[in-house]
Amino acid sequence: MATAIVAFCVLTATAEAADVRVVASAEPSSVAVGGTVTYEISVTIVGPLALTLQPEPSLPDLSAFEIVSTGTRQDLRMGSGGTQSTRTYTYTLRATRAGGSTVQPATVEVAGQVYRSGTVQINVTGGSTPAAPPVAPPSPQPGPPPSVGENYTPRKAVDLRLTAEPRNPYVGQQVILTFTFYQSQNLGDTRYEPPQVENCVSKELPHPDSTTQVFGGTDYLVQERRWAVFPATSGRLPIEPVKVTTATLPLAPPEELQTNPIELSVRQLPPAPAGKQFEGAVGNFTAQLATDRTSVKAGESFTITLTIRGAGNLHSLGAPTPKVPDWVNLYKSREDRSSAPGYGGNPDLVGGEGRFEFLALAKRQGTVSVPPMEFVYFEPTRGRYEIARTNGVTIEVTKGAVAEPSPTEEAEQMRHIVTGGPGRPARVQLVGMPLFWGLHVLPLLVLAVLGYMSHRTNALRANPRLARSLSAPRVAQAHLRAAHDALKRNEAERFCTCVSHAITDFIAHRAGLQAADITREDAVARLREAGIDADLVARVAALLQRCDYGRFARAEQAECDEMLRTARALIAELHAVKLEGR
Amino acid sequence: MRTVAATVPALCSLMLVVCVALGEDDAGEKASMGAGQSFAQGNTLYAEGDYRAAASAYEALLKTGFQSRAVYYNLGNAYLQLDDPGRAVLCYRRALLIAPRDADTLHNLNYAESQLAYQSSASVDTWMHALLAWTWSRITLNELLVLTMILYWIAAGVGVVRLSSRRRRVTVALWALIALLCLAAALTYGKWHRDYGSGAAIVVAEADMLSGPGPSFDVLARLRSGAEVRILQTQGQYCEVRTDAGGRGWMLKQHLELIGPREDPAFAAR
Repeated sequence: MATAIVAFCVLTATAEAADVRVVASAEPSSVAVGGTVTYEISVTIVGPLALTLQPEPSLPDLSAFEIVSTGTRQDLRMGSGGTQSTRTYTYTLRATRAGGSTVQPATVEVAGQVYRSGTVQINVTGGSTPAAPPVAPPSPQPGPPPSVGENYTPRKAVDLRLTAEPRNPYVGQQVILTFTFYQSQNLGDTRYEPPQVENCVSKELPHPDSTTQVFGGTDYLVQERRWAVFPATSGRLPIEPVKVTTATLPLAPPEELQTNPIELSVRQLPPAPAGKQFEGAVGNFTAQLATDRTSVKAGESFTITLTIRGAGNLHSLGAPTPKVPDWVNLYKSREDRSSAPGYGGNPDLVGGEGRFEFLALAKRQGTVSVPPMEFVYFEPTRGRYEIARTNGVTIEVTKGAVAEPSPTEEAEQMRHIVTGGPGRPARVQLVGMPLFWGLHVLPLLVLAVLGYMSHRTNALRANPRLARSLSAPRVAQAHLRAAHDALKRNEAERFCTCVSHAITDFIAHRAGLQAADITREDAVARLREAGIDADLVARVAALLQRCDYGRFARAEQAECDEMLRTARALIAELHAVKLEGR
Repeated sequence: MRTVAATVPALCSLMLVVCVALGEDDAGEKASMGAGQSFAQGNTLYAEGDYRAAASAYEALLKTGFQSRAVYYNLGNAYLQLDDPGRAVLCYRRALLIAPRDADTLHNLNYAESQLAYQSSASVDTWMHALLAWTWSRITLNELLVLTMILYWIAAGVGVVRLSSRRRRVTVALWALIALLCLAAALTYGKWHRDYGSGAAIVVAEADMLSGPGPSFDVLARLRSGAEVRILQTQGQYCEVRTDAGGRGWMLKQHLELIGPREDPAFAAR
């Protein structure tokens, strides 16, 4: 059910000047004696007076015609451009004598001023009656829907009514829900909610024009909304009331009004005729069979199309399958259904067509004759099943280029079951195993580590001074290990040389110099240049001097141990200060 | 660096062997022995012509968690004998998920589809669609995963070599492998989504495809048993589906069954 909300806005009027137009027309412009013609006078008033004035037109001389019936309808529009009221007076005239007739202008008096329409020419011929307009197929609902306000008199200034026709439909039969809104006073913003219907397919019908009608001496503006619903199941089908929210008094808060509830009693379809295939169609339909070609080669496909046209539940009906020879494979390939209100010119009738396409494949040469098909549908107005018969179609199948398969070939036989064991169970899916995803992480880790190492190696290659500086502790430790080894072997001279080299080489590497380029004096000078604490420099110089002395005057074991400890401590201290060269 | 690069392929091979070995269910042989009796009982019932009881026996075997190509195949045959080609097609599809190149299953699937009142007009629009459909129908998900894994490890190995070698040939090889890896990964995801994520079949005689998720919407089409659809989304009791021909609509969940067997624990959460 569409849930669009429509707003009616009625504004209060003020006495201002109005723009008035009067238009007269006749349809058809030519009619035979005895035929009828519709003569209409439309009075359009633009401005605030449109809400209050309902001028009656004065008819011209219509002596050549007999007035059969009259009617009135009104269209009221409000928007940013102002208020416009179009009141149309309709006269059905029957021509009484032949000859051309010029209908003089009709006149309307508004606020003391007379407005005129144009003249209308109607030719009345003495010959046969013009052809009648095409007649719509019979409606699936019994008779036309009730006219606005028929057998109903509004009891309040604002009144609502919800009707359904018919009240006891068959499953799939079209039911028209009509919501009528009567108002005899101006209203504020007015909104309504469409009726809620379960187990139905519904379509909104076109809105009829608003009309003005008199009930008990009071003028009412009458508006309607209509829906076509198709019950899908039998039994009691309640329809919720339509709710309207409006302000009936100026400056008063909106109040909610609602219509009467309705309950449909949906009848089950009677049993389908024996031996006939019924596909659920309810309404009034015709059927046609067609093919997209008349000749094909064996092995080529062609399309057989069954078209169902008419009014009814096209949205849910099925279609029988065309009968083809055994040597033609037939597959249902496509279904298209389109239905809308206005079928056959009747705005309240929902209809259209459904196309059911079957793909056919002829396996050998021959003539494919598709016999006429019978489409069974239920006609609710007659309460019985009817049959729409199609034409038959014939397709010539010529010899094809491909080999034509035999009906008994192996491809058409089913192979036997597995009679051994049940086989191995299906393997566990790898995507469900954590180890599988873990194996994806490992290459990423290897790549990350190797990438870091490669980056570091490249960085050291590009900067030799940095590489030398970073290798300083390693070089110093190597010399100290050699010194320790010399001490164990009691080689005092070598011990002193190694300790001296440990200090000087450490300073040289940290300063970015070649070890061979630096002497004891250079090393001390470099420390002073770097702004190292004087006490530390003095201790370094003292140790280096002791090492020089130690080469010529053999030191005691305890003294050597002390020198080694001092060297290690000094290297640790130097490691903590900045010594990098210029 | 070269040593590491040389060990990568070896390590890759080792991991793959581990992977494949894990893919083999350790309890497979024991399960086969336990399932053999139920399977034989189903076969006996089938041979006696009691196809409904045979189908029940095979279904009961599947409910125990034992799944094999033979069980799905025989169950499909039983449904075919029961004149239910829709469910038969579903069973054959499931058998093909396990053994996609099995000739008997492919043959009976074609036979079952020829028995359907409704045949899906499979629309293979382009050669690319045709190639994808061919690939997906002849390879299992595990095989695609292993292929992707191999490419991944090889790409990682070449990446390691690329760290120590700036030669153009290595760079080109690395990018080619990455492209292949992306292709394999896309194929794998497509296979999973097609077979285990969204593929479903109609399991009732007729199912209405509606214009919206509710009984009051218009009926767009009526699909017959066995027709395959793709599930796009789920809303309440309805699923939005797309047919092979491209039509879209909503269907009741209970009219559909996923092709990927729901007993598969790897996909229980889908």
